[in-house]
This record gives sequence, C-alpha cells and structure tokens, in this order.
Amino acid sequence: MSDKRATGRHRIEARGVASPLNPDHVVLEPGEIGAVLEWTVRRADGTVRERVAKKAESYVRQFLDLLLVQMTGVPEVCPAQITDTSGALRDVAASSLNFDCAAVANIDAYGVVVGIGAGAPTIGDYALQSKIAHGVGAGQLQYGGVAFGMPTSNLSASHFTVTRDFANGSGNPIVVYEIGLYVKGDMPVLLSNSQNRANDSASNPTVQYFCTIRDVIGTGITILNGETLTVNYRQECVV
Amino acid sequence: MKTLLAINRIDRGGRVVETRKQHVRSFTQYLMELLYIAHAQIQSAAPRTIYDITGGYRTADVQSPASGYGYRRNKPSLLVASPGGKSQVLVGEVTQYSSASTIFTFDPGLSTLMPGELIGIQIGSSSAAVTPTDNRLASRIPHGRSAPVPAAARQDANLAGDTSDQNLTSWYGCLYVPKKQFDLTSVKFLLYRTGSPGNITIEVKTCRFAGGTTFTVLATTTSNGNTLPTGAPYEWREFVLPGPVTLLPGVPVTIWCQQAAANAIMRKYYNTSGGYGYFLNKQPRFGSADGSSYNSILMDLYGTSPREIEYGACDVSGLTAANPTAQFDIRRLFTNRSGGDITVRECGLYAAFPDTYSGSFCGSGGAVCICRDVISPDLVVGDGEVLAVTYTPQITV
Repeated sequence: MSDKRATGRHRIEARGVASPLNPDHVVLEPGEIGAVLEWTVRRADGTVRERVAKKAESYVRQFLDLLLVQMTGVPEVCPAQITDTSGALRDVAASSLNFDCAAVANIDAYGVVVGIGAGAPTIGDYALQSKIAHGVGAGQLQYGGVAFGMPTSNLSASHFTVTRDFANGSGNPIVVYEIGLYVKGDMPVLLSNSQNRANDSASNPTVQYFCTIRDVIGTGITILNGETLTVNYRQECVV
Repeated sequence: MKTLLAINRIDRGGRVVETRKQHVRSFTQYLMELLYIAHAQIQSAAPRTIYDITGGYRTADVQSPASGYGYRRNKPSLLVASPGGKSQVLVGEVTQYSSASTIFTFDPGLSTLMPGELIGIQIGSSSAAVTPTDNRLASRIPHGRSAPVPAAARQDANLAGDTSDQNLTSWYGCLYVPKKQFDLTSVKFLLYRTGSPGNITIEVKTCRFAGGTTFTVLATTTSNGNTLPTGAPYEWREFVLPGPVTLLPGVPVTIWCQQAAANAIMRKYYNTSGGYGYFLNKQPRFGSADGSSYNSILMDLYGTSPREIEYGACDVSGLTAANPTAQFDIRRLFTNRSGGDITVRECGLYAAFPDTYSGSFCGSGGAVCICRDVISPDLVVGDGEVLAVTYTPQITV
C-alpha cells in the first residue's frame, strides 16, 4: 500500500533508490502475525527519491508483555512488570491505554520513532539504541503526528497501518539506521485510603512508554536537509 | 510472530495417546481490529463496527468515563484468560458516581457478565476452510455434558400464565437469554386474530441488556395470520426460520414479531399485583423486549444441539524470553463426559471486549474470534478423555 497522502498533491516521480517491492508484495508466511515496514524519502518538491518495503523483523519482548497483560486482564492489585524505554521496570495493568501510539506532532516520546543506532536487534531491546530527538537542531528531525490506515482484509490477509513523517530541517543530512514503535502502558497508582485508582481521570493518567518493535536498516536511510521521511508500519496477519 | 498449536489427547488413565502440532494458520481480521482500536485509541464518537461471535455487528472503542469513582480505564479488550464453563467473567466497566454507589463496581450489571466458556480457546466440529473474516467457529462445540439432540425438539419454553393480550401493531416479543447453546430452528408464539391480518413477521436479532447499540437481524420469516383462530384456545403458531440460528449461553437475543394491521394478538403473562411479574412467574430469561417488569413472554423454542464437552479454565501465562525468541502459552483442557465420542475439526480463540461507551455506561460484554484453524485429520475424543489445547505465540528477532 502506498502512502496515499501524496496522491493528487504532488506528481510522484521515482528517480532515486526504489525497492522492487511494495507492501503488497512483502509476503508473510501463512499464520504469521507481523509488520511490513515501508519507508519513503521525498525531496522538498514532493518527488520521491527513495521508496523501500521490507518485512519488519523485530517485534521485541515488550510486545508480548503487553499482549499478555491484555489477554490475561492483569488487574491493578497485582500488576505485571515490564521494562520501559528508559530501562526501568514498571508496574502495568490491563487498560484501554495500553498499545496507544497515537502521538501528535512534535512528540517523540512514543509512536513511530527513528534513530541512528545500528546494533543488531535482540529480543530484550527496550528502546532504540540512539533515538533521534524532535527538533530542527543538529541531528534532529521534526516528528509529525502519527496517522493510521484502518483495518482491511482480502482473501488471505488482514492489516492496519501506522504512519509517521519525519522532516529534516536541521541544515545537514541525517542517516537513520533504526526504526521502532513505542506505545503507552498504563501504570496504576493505588492509595491506602481509597478504593479508586489515584490517577482516576482521563486528564491524569500515569503512563510510561514501551518499545514493541525495533528494526535496523543496515545501509541506512539518508535524509537530506529539506527532505521528509515517511515510515509506514503495516501490521498484518495472514491466513 | 508465529504461533504453535499443540493438541494432546489424554485417556482416562492420564496417558497422552495422541499429539498434534501445527503452526496456527489463521489469525483473523478481528485481532487486527482490536489491536488497531488500542493503537489508534478509537473513541466512542466514531467507534469501529465489528462482527462478534453471534454473527451480529457491535461497535467498539477504548473510551471510559472521563473521571469518577471506580474509573479504571479497564475495558478488557483482548481478554483471553477465563475461568471454565459457566463461571462468570466481568467484561466491561460501570461508572460509579459516588462512594455510595460502590455497589455498581462490585455487583456489576448483567450486560457486563459473560460465561467463561465463551472466552479463550474454543473447539468445533466444522472443517470449513478458514478466511480472514471468519467471525466465529463454524460449528462450535458448547460446554456441558449433554448428548446431542440431532432432530429439532423443544430446547426451552415459557408456557404458563396466559393472562393478557398484546396487539402486534408494533414489534413485540422477548429479550431471551439462553442458558445453554443450541441451534434455533423454529419459534412458537400463542396467537389469534380479530380480522384478516395477513402475514405476521418474526425476527431473531442481536441485542444487549442496556445502552445504545447496533442490532443485527440474524433470521426473519413470516406466517399467514389469516389462518389463525379468532379466539380461545388460540394457536401456538410455529415460525420456521430459513436456517438455524446458533444461540449462545448468557448472550441475549430479541425474538419478536409484528403485524402492522392491528388484527393479530399475542397472548402473554401480565401481572402487576406483586410488582415484578416475570420474577413472580419464575421465568426471568423470558422478559419482554420493551423492558416492562410486569410482562413475561409466552414462547416455545425448538432446535438442535451438538454433543457437549466441558470447558476448563483458559490459562495465559509463562512468558519466557531468551534471545532471539520470546513466547508465552495459552492453554485449556476440554473433558468429554457426554457419554459418546466427539469429533473435533476446528479450534480457535475468542477474545472478550466491551462495546461502545455511552454516557455512564461503558459497554456490554462481547467477544470476537481472533483466530480459527482447521484440524486435519479429524480428532476423535472418546468419552472420559481429555483434550489439552495449547497456543504458543512466539516472536523472534
């Protein structure tokens, strides 16, 4: 699936590096749940300089941790411990906030994130090796809001897509070597004199961020000054 | 992520007599739906519409009350762990406005309760090919010990207390709550006519105990009202459905009928003397669809039912991680005490979710099928034998 947001706005012209694959050609094995990673680099005039799609390799442990918390219905009174993106163990309970990655623009704490670490992924990775911060300073990228493609299915597969733009206004090229997905986990706060969560309003949640996917791009993705990187994670299951 | 499905058949002596192992082939669109709803934080103003295990539409989101006592953000979407059989599972959340209404938190409404058998690993007897949009097992084997009823016979009924008339100018009938699973093939209502009403239409449709909802008609048919009697002793008129409708334990449906010309009359039980009529009548699963406490609906339900197997608890546990792999297990035991063989050809996973938040109401309990697999060749579980089914989701970097 291509990034539809550019359609009709710019003439899309591929003159640079392009993978022969698009996400529909990246085939997961029957029965597999996985993600297809697609990235596109656009010049300042909107033309496409690079587009690549590949099978994402690396759900990491926290994905299973959060899935288990939800599938078990872990309550606040005996929460599960999960490692957050700072490396700290956090108490997490089943919650409608778990897996939230709908970050708005300028927020680099969660959602799709990118970095410059090139170390091979391991199952215990709890964060990107070296995340690129939001901004226009040296080595920084401007994080757009996270957008979603709604679930669809065909005769053999079902999927939905998580998308984010990263614009380079730093004045110099930046090379991205790692891409990940950070999501929220809900940490209950209990008080001895109350039968409620202390953080008992929508405006007062106590959440931390957890890395569920980390992919390393061996050759790197070069984003020149003025260019924009668009990352699509298409989460998919195949019959 | 790949998932290993392991099935062991264990005889009366505790010996494993058959083992099957295969990779799961068939996670469905509804797993993606629940993950999407969580990732994108879908709110009640624009919820997702999804099929649940009744075959009907439901709307789902992550929204809870904005604040208040008992506010836990704990809509348990993706819940797979459950106790066995008829044990209750709380699926949903109820607002508690003040400390005085604590009771709502600890004594939740019927709409948020589901039987454990409908959550977690399921088995069935159909070998129909799987598709990404399968919303339930094609032929689910229910919890219990009963032998099958292969030919249509009475499955449930509320026959006593014929006291009052109900004109069918508007839809009228029963919010019926099955206590066991069966395939409904026909419905009888006690009817008569006052003129020439023409066709009377019946509907079997999904419903909830409370809150706003999206309904789905599961079956509809008509019967000629002109051939009804014009007075006592009336007629138990049979409406034969075009195909069987699988009713699930504890999951309410509305069964009602209508004839717009005001010439068709339904007989019902109506009692105001003691307050709650259908409680007095000892038929609480046959309450009226209009919510009146004074009416219970006279109804005779016919259908078939499959041989039953006992559902144990569904356990989710055992997360281990050793680079490059992490995994956990989802397990359930099924015990055949039905007196005969049970042939298993499919299995799957049902995940509970509460449907749309509305006002102070955080959704009725429901479940979606997130995985369905065909088991081939057939697996025959003899009387007294145990089937142990384990799903092991596994990720590898």
